[in-house]
Amino acid sequence: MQINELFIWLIQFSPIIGGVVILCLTNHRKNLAPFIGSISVFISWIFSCWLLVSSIVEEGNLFISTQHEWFSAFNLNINIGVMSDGLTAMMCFVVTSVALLVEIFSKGYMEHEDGIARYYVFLSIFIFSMLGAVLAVNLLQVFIFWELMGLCSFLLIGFWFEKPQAVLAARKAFLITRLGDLGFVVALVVIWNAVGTLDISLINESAAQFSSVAIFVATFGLLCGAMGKSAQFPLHVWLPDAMEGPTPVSALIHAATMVAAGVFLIARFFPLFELSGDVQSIMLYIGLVTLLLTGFLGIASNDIKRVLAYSTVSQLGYMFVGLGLGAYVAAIFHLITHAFFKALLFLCSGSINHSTDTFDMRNMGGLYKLMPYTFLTFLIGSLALCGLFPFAGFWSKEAIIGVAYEKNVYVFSLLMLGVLLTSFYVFRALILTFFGKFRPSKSFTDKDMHVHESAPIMTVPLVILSIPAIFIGFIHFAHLFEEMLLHANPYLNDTHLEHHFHLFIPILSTFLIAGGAFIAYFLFYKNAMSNLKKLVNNSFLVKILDKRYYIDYFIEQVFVSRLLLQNLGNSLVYFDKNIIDKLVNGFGKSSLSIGRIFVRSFNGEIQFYSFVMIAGLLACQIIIFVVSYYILGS
Amino acid sequence: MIALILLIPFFAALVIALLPNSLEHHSKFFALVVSLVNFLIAAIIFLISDLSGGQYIAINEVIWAQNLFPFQIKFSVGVDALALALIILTNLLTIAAVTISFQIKERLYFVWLMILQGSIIGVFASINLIQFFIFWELELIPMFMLINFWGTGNREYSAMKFVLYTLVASAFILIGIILLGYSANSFDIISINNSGFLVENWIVIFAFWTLLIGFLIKLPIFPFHTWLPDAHTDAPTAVSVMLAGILLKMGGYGIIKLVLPTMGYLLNDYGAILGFLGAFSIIYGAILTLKQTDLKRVIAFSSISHMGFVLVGIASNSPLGVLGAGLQLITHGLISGLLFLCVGLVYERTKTREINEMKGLTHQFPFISFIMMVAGLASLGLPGLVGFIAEITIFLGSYETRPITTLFAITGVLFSAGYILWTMQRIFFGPRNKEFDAKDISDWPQLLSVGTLLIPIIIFGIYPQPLITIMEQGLNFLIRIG
Repeated sequence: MQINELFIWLIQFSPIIGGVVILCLTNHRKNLAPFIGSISVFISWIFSCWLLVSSIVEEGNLFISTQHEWFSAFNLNINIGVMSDGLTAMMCFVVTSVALLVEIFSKGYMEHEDGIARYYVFLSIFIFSMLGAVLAVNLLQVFIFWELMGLCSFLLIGFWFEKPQAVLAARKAFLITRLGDLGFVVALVVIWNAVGTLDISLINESAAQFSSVAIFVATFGLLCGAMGKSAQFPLHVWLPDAMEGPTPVSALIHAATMVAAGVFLIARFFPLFELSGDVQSIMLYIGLVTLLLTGFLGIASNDIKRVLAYSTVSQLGYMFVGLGLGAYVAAIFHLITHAFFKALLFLCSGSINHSTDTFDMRNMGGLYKLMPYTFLTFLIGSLALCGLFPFAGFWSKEAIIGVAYEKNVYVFSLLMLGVLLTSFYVFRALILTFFGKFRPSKSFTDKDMHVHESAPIMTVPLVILSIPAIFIGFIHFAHLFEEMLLHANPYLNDTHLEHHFHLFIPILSTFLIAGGAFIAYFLFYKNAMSNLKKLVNNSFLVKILDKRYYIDYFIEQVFVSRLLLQNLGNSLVYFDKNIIDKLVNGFGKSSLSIGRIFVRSFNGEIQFYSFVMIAGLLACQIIIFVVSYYILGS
Repeated sequence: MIALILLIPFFAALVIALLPNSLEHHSKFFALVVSLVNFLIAAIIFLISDLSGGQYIAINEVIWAQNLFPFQIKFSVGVDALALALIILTNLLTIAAVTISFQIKERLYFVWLMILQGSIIGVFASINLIQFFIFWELELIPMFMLINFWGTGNREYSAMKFVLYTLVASAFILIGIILLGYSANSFDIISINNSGFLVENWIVIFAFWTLLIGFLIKLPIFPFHTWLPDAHTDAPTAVSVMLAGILLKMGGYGIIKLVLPTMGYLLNDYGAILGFLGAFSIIYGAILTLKQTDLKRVIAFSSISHMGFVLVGIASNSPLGVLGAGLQLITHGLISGLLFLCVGLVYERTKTREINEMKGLTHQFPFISFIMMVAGLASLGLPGLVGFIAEITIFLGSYETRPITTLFAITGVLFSAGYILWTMQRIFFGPRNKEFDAKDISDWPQLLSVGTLLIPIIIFGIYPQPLITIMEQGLNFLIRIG
């Protein structure tokens, strides 16, 4: 049976209904929050599955697209609704699957938090908004939920609001993504002025109507929005800091769903991007720069979550490269596989943190015996991330690299360098965390804590997530997968996105992965700490990496703090106070001093008064004469 | 009916003034009841009347001066959709202003507050230019008194500055009104509006600029904005609410109501300058907001920035842009009113408005911080709250005629996110501060006060159509003339 509109709405609204219920129960039964949250997301997962099955039956063609008037004013009509094509169905399935497991995992992870109800409410609003952006039929609707996602990200990063770093990171995340969203607003405005509608399918259909300037501005604006959300260079700076939030949040928002929304947005409007070659090349180069720069950063970080964050940015860079090359299907494919294995990795790091009370890899080591489930699932996630045959990441990365090989050999070689980097930082993290000797921090031993495997409520989601991390790549072989994505975008010009399979690419990438692993092994397995110290102390490169190429420094210190707040701000304050306001006050005072001049004329002399009176009368007469002569006479 | 709404506050002021001394402490309840009743009447008028054609309803006329001018001056009241919307906003804000001042015992305070409400309603309900101007001036007296006697800090200076500065504006407006009346050969706003555009000549251009300068001072727009932060800083909470919530809107209302229907075509020539001024105000106000450390000044400067959007919308001279400007008048009224209420609530508990002296207040006042967060998010244009609709409509509407101005105006969205979040985080987030152990909101007047403004912010954010419809009706003439 085909899914109908009501149930598609329920996919989106079930989480928020759950959130409202939690909100009403906050005062009395805080412990119910995880159950209500999980059940509401479970319901939406069920309907997502239904939507996916229906979509498979329809081969990804759009079979429901509804329009309900939200508001209209003069020539502006905004309709909202839901749609159901292949892209939407797949995204819904991925989002709700990861969200469900994260909700369950959070019950264990956030157990001892006071604000657990608040946490689940924010999470519910986030899932609602993410699904809203995916299901939207209207660009404004996408934008609304896009912004709400940003808000939830802000609230959840700053969940521990008494921690100054968390507060700072939350603000940074919101403002940097909003900087990108300025582009989104410009695109919105330009698109509406170009085609007079904000309906997504109509925009894609009438892509040819755009003037060349309009299409450039529109696509570049959308790209800016996507770069902000998907943390692409130079707007990538917020994502590593966002790791201050609770780890399940990082898994859901900052690895699997929200950061992928940028890729989704570009995919949604791919017919527009196809017409704008310049923007596509910009996208390609941004993706390349991002994936290499953050790949290096992943090597230098000692915080396991930050390593994963850099790797997320780097993998998003792959997706941008894929989109930049026109490989729309491959990019979405990588988005889907990445969502599963990266959520898995983040949840593993959460599990590790739950037990070791730290994210610093220098204080870990030897955990593979102590936390076997976490170790095995982390290993699976890592191999998928590296792109080792036959894990999920292999197929999707191969799809992007294959297209790159056929289109541009330089891009191809840089992508292969990225494979080497990925393998190196992944195995470094793996070795530092799970192998060698356990190196607890002083505070950890002081508190007399012991490392133990996490409770089943946390390990079961890990095990479940590792299944798609291994197998989901095989959907690639189903011809239907590609068909569904292509049918979802019927206005694509270039539908021949499939590349030929080159056997040497997987062989080469396997060698590169092995090479990366070997270097990591060589450097970190034996004498891990001393080597690490040597590297950190001696290398100029590591210093730059430690400062993140000074990009954050430049944005925060130089641009915002120095230029905007100090130089511009102070001079404007000075200008406002000492020039504008002085002028105003001077104006007031001058009327006083003019008054003083006239005060002198009240001197009590009758002769003077009568002189002024007669002179005034004469003047009046002259004025009346002149005025009446010129106005009435002519 | 409209005459009733106009007269009730003045009558209430008289009654409060004449209450026996033994009942003086009840004057607040009297004021509250009166403002509730007045709000209800306005709401009923809105519900029962048909405003769809953009026509004036409920007109009452008394001939005021038969032979003083070449044509007669009438005392005439009546409203169209735009004016009615602003009157309803005035009444809402008065309810909030009265309830937030419940700790004040003096009757005189409520007398002035009622006169203030009455004169603001008078401005919106006037359909005669002279009468419009009289009410426009009348509103200064209660403002002066309220700031001068119930204010804080440097209140005499601020009250004087406010009155003198706005009097300069009034002088310009008076010149403009007289020129307009003579050019159109009538002081009746309806007949002026119905007779279409005035023929372009230098008198009309002069009237255009004098009216605009007068209204821009009131709005306020750079470089005429310096009275606003001072007035806000030293005014009592309720007056800040009224000032930001509705007094600034009179400037925008004046432009839409008097300038656009008669000389709107001049915007084709001069709109570029005005749009530039608006966009400049947005950015200038925003950067100054970032530098403020007094909570009230933060919101005052942010008002300057937000009023810039109104000017950008109007200067675009496209129906959608002007509609956005109209929406911004209402939404900013609600949002800045709520923000000032929250500042008042915080100040009452911390006895300081200095941002650097506060932190972690959300531990003590979770409810206040929630409300102020919502108000702040609405102010930064978060979708789902009412501010977003106004801003996006302005952007969509003004891009076609003034693309560059619009692009500059859009950057304002980033700045507002910056100062709002930064401010909120500095006062509410961070570790618990033991210094401010006071109670969160618990008494009903304060709840009623924030509720009156919070509820429309959320409802119209989710479903803006009623608000847009009323604006569309009020701005019908743009389609008719243009």
